[in-house]
Amino acid sequence: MVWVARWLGLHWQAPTVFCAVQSRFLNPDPANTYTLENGLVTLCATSNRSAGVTIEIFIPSGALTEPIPGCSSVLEEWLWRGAGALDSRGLEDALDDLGVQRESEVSVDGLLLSFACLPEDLAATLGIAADLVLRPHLETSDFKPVLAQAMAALEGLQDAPDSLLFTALSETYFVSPHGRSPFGTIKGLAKLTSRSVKADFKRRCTPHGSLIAASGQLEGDQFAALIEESFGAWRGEIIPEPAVQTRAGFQQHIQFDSAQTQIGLIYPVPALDAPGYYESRIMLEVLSGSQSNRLFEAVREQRGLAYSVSASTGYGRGYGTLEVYAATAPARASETLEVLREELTRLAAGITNDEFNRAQIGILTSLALFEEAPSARAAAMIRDTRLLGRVRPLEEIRAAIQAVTLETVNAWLHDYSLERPGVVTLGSAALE
Amino acid sequence: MWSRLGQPRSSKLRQVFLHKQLANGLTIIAESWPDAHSIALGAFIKSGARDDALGGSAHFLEHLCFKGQLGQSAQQVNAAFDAIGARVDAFTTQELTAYSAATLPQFQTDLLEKLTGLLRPALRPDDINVERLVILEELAMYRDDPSSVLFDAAQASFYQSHPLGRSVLGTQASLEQIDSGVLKSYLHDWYAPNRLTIVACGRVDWDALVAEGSKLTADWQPSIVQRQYPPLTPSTEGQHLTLSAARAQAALLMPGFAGNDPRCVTASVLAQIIGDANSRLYWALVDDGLCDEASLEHTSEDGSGAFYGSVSTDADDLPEALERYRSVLRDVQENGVTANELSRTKKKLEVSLALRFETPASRLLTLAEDWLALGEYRSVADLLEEVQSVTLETVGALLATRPFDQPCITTLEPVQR
Repeated sequence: MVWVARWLGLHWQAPTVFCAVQSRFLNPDPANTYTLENGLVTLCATSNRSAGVTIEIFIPSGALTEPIPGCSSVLEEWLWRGAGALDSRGLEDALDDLGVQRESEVSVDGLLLSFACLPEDLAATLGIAADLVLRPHLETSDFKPVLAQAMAALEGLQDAPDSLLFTALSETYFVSPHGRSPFGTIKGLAKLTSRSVKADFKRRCTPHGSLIAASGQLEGDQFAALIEESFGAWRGEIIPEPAVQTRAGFQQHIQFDSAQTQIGLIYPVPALDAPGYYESRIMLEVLSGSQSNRLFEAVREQRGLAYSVSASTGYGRGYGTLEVYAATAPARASETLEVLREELTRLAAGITNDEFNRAQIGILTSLALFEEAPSARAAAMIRDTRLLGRVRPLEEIRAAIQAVTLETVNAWLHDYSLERPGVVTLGSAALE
Repeated sequence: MWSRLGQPRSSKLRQVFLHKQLANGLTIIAESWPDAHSIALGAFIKSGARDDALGGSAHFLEHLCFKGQLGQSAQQVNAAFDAIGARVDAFTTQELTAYSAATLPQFQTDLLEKLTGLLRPALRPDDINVERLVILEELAMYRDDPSSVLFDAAQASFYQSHPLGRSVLGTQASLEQIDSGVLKSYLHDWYAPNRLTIVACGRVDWDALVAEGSKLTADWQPSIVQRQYPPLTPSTEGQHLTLSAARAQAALLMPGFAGNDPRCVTASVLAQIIGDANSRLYWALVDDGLCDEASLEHTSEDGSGAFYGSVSTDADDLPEALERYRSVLRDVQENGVTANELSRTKKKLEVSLALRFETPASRLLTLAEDWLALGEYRSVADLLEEVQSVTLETVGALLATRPFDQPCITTLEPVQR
């Protein structure tokens, strides 16, 4: 169900029952945010359907603003090597003693720390999370193994040709740092020292632009009080983010010893808060989201050109991208690329009424299924708040999808150009 | 909802297990969640790569099931699922073939009709020829993934000629031999109602499910084919692969315990202590930067089981990584695990069980797998009880069988691209 996960992850942000009427929340429903004096924003969605609590902590220390490529991922790994009163192993044991599930991930935008725990362990879990964010040891003796891990992760990309392709696609498409790979570069990693990464931690691990969201079985007042207690003393500066700059209409081949040729196309699409966003959402469903989607039909069902063929969207502040992907035998790569381009170009002629209806049903059903999964809401609230400055209520998204018509989608497709993609191919031979 | 751990406040309504076997052998089971907002439905066939002597037929047929029945195109099949907001997830393993989807409860009957419709494909030669190209690309995709190449080789070495050593996808040669005759025969033998279980979870209309299931499969005939269980003598001789890759890797396979063996839960807990996050292997191999991955899992199959270990490191460091890996296994086998390690791991599993089944869709597969493996229902409370029943004594008894004495080790030596 990769499709569902990806779709939900990127598009869905709709808590149904926010911490309604909580005195600490300045604007309880629908804004549901509470901002600490230090600039940290907290978000909370209560759901009695959940057996636990999911906590997401976003810190704007991603590749976008890093001083040296790879700095963010080294820092992420280093944070887990001891914090507060606990050493590296003590930290892991303490979380395991509570049965807390956790993971962390660096993206171009920031560092995301995720935790899931039982309701009664919320305070203890937040305490450990605060140690990680505010009081990591960052011992110099741990720096070498941490750097080795980052090097191994970067090297490991060479064993995943699809990841290499997407990395190259983003790096080429964005002129600004928005296309940087969170894995960094060999050169960048080689330049890092424990001192430089520590200095970066002090500067970029800041409450300004950071967000803490929780969803599940918790009370808003209790959560806000816990956040005040654990994160109230956090101080830091505002980290400016560069403006987005992209290029269009490029084509590039990367020579790579592999059985398949990887093909990626990238197009701009409306940002989450831009006119045409919901029309583009229907377009994505027709192109690649639904089971009867056009790319699957044209590339796989009719021609047997590829096993993997898909399109997905990604969003950042002020921009959106549509990435189209297929992998096939070198001898059939040119034909596959041609079919992909044709399908995108063909969208300008519009979609059919049947396609529109199926897309709308698909999105609305996914919305309803998402509503049943409170644990996914914390991450969705983070995304909405970062990109829109607010959390969209479920009803708003539902109404927006219902307000889109075949006519508005086709008018948008007619006016919106999907004809000049950036193209990257990766494989044993360049395409003709 | 289940047990004292992590109980949702809203679940005042009891979950109920329902079960019915039809005259043609078809089994229908459901875990009914009266307060759910959705229904997840699946058709699970107790047949997979191990039942497919040619290699690749079970998986090939799974692809062909989406091409439509007589008089129906693939496009029509897919559009029909879209019309009820359902997207089918299908997969083939050694043990089973599954087709499942989730949607709103009002579409239960539609979804059941479309899922059972998938299981009676037309198997047109033109569709087979196009799909063969698609599966050859799937094979090529895995050839570009060093971990997949390694594990296929490791499995083939460990199981030798035993059916569990077969590749799910088959080989280029076996795929060339698959035609409509082969697929029709496989369909007839294995997609018979007595090999099929319809599994539902969520807001289920049980009476309608049974009535519709009976109607839709009224003319389906049971099959007499039986799964074969040849004796398994796992090999201890692995292979050495040389491959265009960046990282050196190794796979270590060791005999484990079957799904119906009570020791399989202890084996899973033990594997977590040794090779999950914050495990023996992590602290011995990953913490100091020698390896970027070192793990151990236990998998139970029908009639057997295995411990699967893996390690990934720099090309030059593989011998040391393997030495440390084996030393961890030896130490656990000789000295056992500590009470702290055991209680911590049990707590992790208990919380995971309490949190992971949030939606009907997230519960469906476990429900189906337990039924197919054991022929009986396992509630989440039962699963928790099984975890709680693991003790230092059960771990000790398992280690006394000396499972880690002779791992079958397959290595992958990277060659610069």
